[in-house]
Amino acid sequence: MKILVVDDEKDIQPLFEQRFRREIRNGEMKFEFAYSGEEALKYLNGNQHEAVLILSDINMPGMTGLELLDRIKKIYNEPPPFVMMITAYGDEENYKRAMELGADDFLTKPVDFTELKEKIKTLH
Amino acid sequence: MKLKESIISITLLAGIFLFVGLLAAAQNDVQISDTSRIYQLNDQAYQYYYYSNLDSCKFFALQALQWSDKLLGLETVKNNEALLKRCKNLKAISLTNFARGIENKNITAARDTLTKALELVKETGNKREEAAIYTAFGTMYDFNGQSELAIQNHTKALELIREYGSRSEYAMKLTDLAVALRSNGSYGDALDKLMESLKISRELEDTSTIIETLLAMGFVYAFVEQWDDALSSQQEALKIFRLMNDSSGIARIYNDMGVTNMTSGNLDEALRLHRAALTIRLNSTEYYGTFASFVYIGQILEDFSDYEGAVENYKSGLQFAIKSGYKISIVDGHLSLGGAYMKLPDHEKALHQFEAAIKLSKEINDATGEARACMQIAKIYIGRNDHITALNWLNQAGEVAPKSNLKFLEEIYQSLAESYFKIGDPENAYKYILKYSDAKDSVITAENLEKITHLTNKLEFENKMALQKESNEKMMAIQQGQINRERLTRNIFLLGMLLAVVLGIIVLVRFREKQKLNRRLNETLANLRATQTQLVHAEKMASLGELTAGIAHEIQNPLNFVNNFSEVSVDLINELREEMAKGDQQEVDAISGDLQQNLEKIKEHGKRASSIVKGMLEHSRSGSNEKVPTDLNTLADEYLRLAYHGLRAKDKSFQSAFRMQADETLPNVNVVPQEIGRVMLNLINNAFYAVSEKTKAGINGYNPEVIVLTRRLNNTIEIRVTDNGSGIPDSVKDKIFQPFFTTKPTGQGTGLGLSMSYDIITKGHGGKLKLESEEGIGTVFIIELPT
Repeated sequence: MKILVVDDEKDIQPLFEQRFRREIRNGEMKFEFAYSGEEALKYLNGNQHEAVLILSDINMPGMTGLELLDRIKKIYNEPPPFVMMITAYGDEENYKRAMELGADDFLTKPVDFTELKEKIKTLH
Repeated sequence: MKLKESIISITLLAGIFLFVGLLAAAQNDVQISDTSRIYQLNDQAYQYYYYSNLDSCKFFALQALQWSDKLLGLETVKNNEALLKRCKNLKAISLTNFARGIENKNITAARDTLTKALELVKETGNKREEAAIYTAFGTMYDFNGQSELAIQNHTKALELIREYGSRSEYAMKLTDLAVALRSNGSYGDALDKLMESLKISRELEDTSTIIETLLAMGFVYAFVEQWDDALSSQQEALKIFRLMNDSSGIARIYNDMGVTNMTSGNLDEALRLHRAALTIRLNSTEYYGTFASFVYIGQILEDFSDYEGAVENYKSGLQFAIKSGYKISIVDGHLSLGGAYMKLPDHEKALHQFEAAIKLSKEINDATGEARACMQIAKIYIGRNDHITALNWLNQAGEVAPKSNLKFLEEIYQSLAESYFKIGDPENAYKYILKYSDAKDSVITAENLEKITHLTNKLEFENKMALQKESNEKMMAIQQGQINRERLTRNIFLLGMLLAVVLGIIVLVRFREKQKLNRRLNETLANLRATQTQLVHAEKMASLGELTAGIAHEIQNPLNFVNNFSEVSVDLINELREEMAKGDQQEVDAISGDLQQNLEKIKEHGKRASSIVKGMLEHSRSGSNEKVPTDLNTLADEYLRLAYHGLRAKDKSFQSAFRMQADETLPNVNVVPQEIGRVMLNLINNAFYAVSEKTKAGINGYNPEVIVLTRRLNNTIEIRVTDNGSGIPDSVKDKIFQPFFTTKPTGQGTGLGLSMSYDIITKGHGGKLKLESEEGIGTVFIIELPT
């Protein structure tokens, strides 16, 4: 299973790689990282249908996570990737907007990795 | 302004009800309880007088007068001495207000009315009312240019109030007297009175008198051509009005500052200020003020040879003169407009205006106005070479022109002589040449006299000021010299010694006076400094509040990493033990590598968090701000995030894109980082505020965005903060860097942010802070810093 993580904090990469150490080693999961919405779109253009799950931060400079979500859901119709939004603000407004735009799930920072793992496993 | 309007409309309403009530009551007999009605009517009359609506003042005063007369006719009143006194007082007040209501139209009648009122209060022995009547006399004479009489009456009022009135009334009176003294050219005395008044009203915290006094002071300084002092008095008053949110007062000061700048020859600034005053006044019911603003603007535009602009302003001014009901201003309005039409040139329209001026000035016996209009019409015909018609108008002008206005007569006689010469009437031409040269001589004599008087007054004033400014040491030296002289003289003459003692006393008395003055000046200065420090502190704390929310978010990210990396490290240690037990050296190496990396990350993010806290401390710390080489890109980026998250934390519905366009080649610049940070925070906050306001307006397809850009130019570094909000209207652009100016609702802005930013950039760093804005498109604030 391929997962694309989008966040402007670069250290998210070592963190995810260690948190999912076992899963990566088993070949259960494979992670790709993008540090902005623009970068994520570029990746998706080159590797269509590869990423099954996209985890994206909302507050990023430039293209925000919500804009990225909107683009992904509009462009990639079949099969649409599963998009989970992450934000530091667990507020109603962002939640509603993300849901309206077609987000499949919603996580708040700080990310509870046990919960995230559970959620990913149910996707299988 | 709003408040004043509502006060006026409430009083107006109350007035109407009252009037209706009065009509109803008039059917019945008068009651003793009607005294309260008379009080109310007088109150109203005075209110209208205060807001320059003299017709309404007159109307209500007349009602009050009729009612008090009715009361005085009652048997019960006649037989009760206390009641009789009360009613007589009421009548005196009504008379005073009536006089106020007619002083612009008929000064003789106003004077007689006041004299009658004075007689009445002298009968009743009401000293405070007596003082009020002297004040009314004084104000009337002052308005009419009879300053000697004005001073006499204000002095009488002052003496009465010193004895019978409150300290606050006394301070107010001092200011009235100072205004009269100023009109008379006694600038030094005027300033003394004003300083005394200022001291008392400051002690009493009586803002309205403080303001009146500061404004009067401003004009004293302007008359002696000390423009900086004049403007700083006016600015101080402006600060108070801003704090009070009194837009009418603000307009008045813009007006006064405009006049100061006009007289000092700083026309651009004068134009800006008069326009600012106008913007405010257009939203008010102060028609006379609005008229004045339009006329000032027109005059400046005429000076700039922008005659079309002048015409437009005079036209609007005229409308407001008509609304205000001041006939003499309407005549002025026609004359100004006609003059501008002449310069355009549009002679037909000019003629039309002058004819209107003549018609009205005849109605109100404004001889000067009529003569000026005739003269202008004559000029038009002279321009057309129609000297016969011109002569008719010139003769009319000569007949009506006040004989005291020599300069004007000189101009008329000169034109008469020229026109008679042109039509081949040398006899009359000669006659007027003689008259012309007579008038000219008189004008020169009068002008010289005036110049000398003015110069003397000015010198006197400067002398007084110079004496005040003399340092204590200098005075001590004089005293010492005096003592030495005394020693000498003691040995010579007894008489000499006596003289020296007398001199010594004089010096001592003067020294004491000067000390007192110095102390007063120092107090004022200290007060101002204290206020300034408080305000700066308040602004810092306000922006700190804005920062805190942003910081909380910014700090959360590194803390999450610290937590996550340490948690994951605990797991890794367990794994490491397992692998060691298994003896898988390769995996042990990999895990320990990860562990090392995690510890680095923890350290890194810990540092990141602590540098944010440090930044916050620096922001709030005052003093000892040193310039250090600073990476402006990092600084700008930091504050952009802080500002955004700060706003987000306050208002969760707030959304805006933001982006940093950093010029990576930017060298480090020597700045005080916390100060530049404060400026950045301010500009960025304003930008976000602008886009959020536009978002609230609900425009379709609008994408709010704030961009911070840095770039290197020749010898400067530029930081641009761009937003695509609603833009800043031209009327606001001028004021935006002024202290206390804010467009945010009350309580949301101190109005100091931009003015402090401006000072930090220009005074603190020798840079520039500029703005470019287009309504509907957006705003860019540009910081330029020297490298």
